Amino acid sequence: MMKKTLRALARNKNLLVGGIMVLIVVVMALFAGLIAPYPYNEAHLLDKMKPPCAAYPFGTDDFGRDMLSRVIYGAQPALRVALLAMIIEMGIGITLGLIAGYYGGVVDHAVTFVGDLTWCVPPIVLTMAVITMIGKGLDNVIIATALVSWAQYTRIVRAKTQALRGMAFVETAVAFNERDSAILLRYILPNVMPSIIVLASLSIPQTIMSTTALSFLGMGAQPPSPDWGLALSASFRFITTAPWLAVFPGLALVFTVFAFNLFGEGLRDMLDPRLKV
Amino acid sequence: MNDALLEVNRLSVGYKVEDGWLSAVHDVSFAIRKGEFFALVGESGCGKSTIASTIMRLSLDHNERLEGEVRFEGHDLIRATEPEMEAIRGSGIGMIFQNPLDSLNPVYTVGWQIDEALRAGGMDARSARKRTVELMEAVQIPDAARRANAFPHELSGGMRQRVMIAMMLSRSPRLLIADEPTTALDVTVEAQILEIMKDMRDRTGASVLMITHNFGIVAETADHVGIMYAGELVECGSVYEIFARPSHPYSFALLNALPRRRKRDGRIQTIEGTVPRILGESRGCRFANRCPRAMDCCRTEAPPRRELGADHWMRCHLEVNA
Amino acid sequence: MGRYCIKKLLQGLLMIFTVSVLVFLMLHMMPGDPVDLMMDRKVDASKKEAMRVQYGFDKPLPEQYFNWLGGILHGDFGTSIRMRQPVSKLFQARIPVTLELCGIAMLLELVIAVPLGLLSAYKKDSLFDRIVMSLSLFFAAIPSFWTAVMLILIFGVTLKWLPISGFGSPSNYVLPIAAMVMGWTASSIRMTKTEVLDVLREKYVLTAYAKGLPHRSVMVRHVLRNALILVTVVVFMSIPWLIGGAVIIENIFVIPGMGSLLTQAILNQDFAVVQACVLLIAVLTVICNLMSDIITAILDPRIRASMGGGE
Repeated sequence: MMKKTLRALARNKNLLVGGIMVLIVVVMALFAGLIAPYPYNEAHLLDKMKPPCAAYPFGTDDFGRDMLSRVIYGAQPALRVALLAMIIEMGIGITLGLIAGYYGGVVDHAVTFVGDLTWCVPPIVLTMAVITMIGKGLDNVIIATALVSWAQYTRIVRAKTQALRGMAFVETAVAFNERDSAILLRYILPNVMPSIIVLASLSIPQTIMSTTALSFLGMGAQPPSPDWGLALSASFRFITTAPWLAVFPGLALVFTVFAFNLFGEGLRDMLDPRLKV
Repeated sequence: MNDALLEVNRLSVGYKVEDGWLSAVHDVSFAIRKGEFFALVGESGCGKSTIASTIMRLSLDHNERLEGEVRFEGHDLIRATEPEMEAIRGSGIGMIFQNPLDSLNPVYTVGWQIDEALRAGGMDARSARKRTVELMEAVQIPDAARRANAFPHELSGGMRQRVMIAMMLSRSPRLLIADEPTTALDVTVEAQILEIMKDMRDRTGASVLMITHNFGIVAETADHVGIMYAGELVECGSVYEIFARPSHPYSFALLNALPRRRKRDGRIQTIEGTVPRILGESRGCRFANRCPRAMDCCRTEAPPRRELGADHWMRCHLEVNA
Repeated sequence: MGRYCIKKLLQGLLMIFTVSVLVFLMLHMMPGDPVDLMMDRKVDASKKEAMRVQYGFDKPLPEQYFNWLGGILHGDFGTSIRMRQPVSKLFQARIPVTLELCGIAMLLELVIAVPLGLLSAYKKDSLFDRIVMSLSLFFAAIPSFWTAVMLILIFGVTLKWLPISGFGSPSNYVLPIAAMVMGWTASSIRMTKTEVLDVLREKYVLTAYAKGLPHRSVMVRHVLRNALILVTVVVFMSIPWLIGGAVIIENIFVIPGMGSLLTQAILNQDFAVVQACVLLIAVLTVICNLMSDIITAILDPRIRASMGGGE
């Protein structure tokens, strides 16, 4: 069994390579304090705007802070945002999806309508609109993102629940007078779970991209956070004199997004090949 | 066998899969005469549909390996180029598929789709439509002129399959391949469709290769029967011979599994085990692990072909006298 | 078909109505006095009261809403507090810029993504397919703002081939549009390929071959024609994303469009502008979805049947 799993993993190159890359990002975030040569906030006033060299492999910024350390620490806000937003999205999205798919009727129409509302403005614009109301900052970005993106979970959970609702094992449970909550949690949810996992892994990179974009526009993380989007926006002024400041945080971002994309596609091929996100 | 329309000689089909070559069809030979109704019978997954799509060269799979030959009117289709196949498909060989909803394009009217086949044969649009309506009437579609403007989803399953038959007969092919044409249909509709197919055969003189797992259909329609197991043709003979003297242990078991051949205690006889998935070169008889009469040699040596009479043979180690 | 269109139209109108209510309420859902939010806090009480009357904040909410909506229907989107200009005047200058940007980007995306996706599907597992798929997987992982920064770095700063900001001459368009198109085209290629592969697997493609059609006819009349339905959806669905992309790109390249207007308005808490922008973009998106639904129905008789008749 173990051997078979390993063989399947070896064949599913996306999952394997993506998994390793994701692991690298996670390790970077968890052990930033051990890996990074300097604290992300330590200003070396004599070494401002140094190009990459032995002491500072990624160079330093206009405060003399080590870019390598800041890039490594930058994994922390990226993953924190992605995870927290995902948890809130899942909470709202799965609950509504289960209810809409299981009960149908007016509830279903209402949930679908509210879900459609979130589609009718481009996500980034809607997120920005929410931020206008609740204010700038990374935590608010998490809330805004979650409020805007839960409907993708609802859409898939609802469709799957509808399909499962008509299946024999669920009908049997209904016939035996099981409570609705028990049917939803014990019979339906476990069967929807693979799709949810795939969807989650594919939406993490989207979340990271859009939240860093917001930080880039000045609405998310605020200085002195090592957030990659913020770093890119700060470096933009020095694009002609200190291009390394723009290159490395961007590369870290691309690496992370690429890692989760690969991992997510690998998971999809394994768990739910026909799922369209 | 000069009157043979289609000759399949030592045909093997393999697919490349993760852990090697999957042998879907192995060393299959049979022939279909002009005007003959030939049935290939077997459990699902035994390779009978693969043979059908190989004859038509319809596989889009690049990981496929073909060996042997398929001679249609003397031309080897395995070595035919794609333009040569385009000339043969439709006018030489037509094919009907299992599910008549999947096999019609949902965005065009059924009449348009038959027209398209006729126009591919060089007919102009107006005479094509006239011929289409005639063809639809010939397969007993009521109100054909109006139905021609219907979309596939607006017709019943039986009607759709009639449309498929009309479409595939539109260019008067010499061979019609029918891959489980009635499996997705009701029993009453099935009888009608089979009747139409027999009628067509009688009128046009075309041969039919019927792929099915249903012995009832075989008994009703076929002149000749080939029985397949796990990618191999194990027994072949006239329908009378096969039903009267099923000789290969698999054919015997299969016929015994028919509900009307019950044992005295009223239970349906089943065959133990499942069809194996054959990877790479296999030695011995593929049925050996399920065969009630298997011997030692069955597992190590390929079974020889034994003639059981004129036009009746099997591949088995058993002595013929049984 | 007529009924189907009317039904979709009504759904769209309901959607726009709901969005307009939500956008209107934005100002009132926030803590604090709307006048404080609109003005600097240093305004004295009597002036505040005057403003309250001037902006109609003393009236009940529904009345305020209909006054606001009535104004918008007459082209009056309110006044930008920070820029001291009517929003409609700002729009006049900025909407064409964004539409132009998005239009060119969409056209490019279509011209690149559809043929490449089609070819990749048709030549699945070939060298061509593998190259296109790896490249698109890579480009899909690059956020547009970093693409923009890198393009500026390479073509603007290092090679000095193209201007890095401003808007006017055609050369100003190249980098922003390239940055907008790259990531989204990459995902569209992958999506188109998936759709075409699905169609290629359909039985009716086999039927088309079986009746003797030449390869080209099968590809054009059966595969492409049916994949077109899904590609239409992909294209229309990408419009909101293009607009979202424009918001970021306009900021980077200092392009005076809707996106930079919206961003500035949010950072400055300029509510009238935010409300008008969000509403306008929502209406545009709903119209795009509506068009996608109607075109799909024209292309696919099954949808016409299922949606037009019953339900």
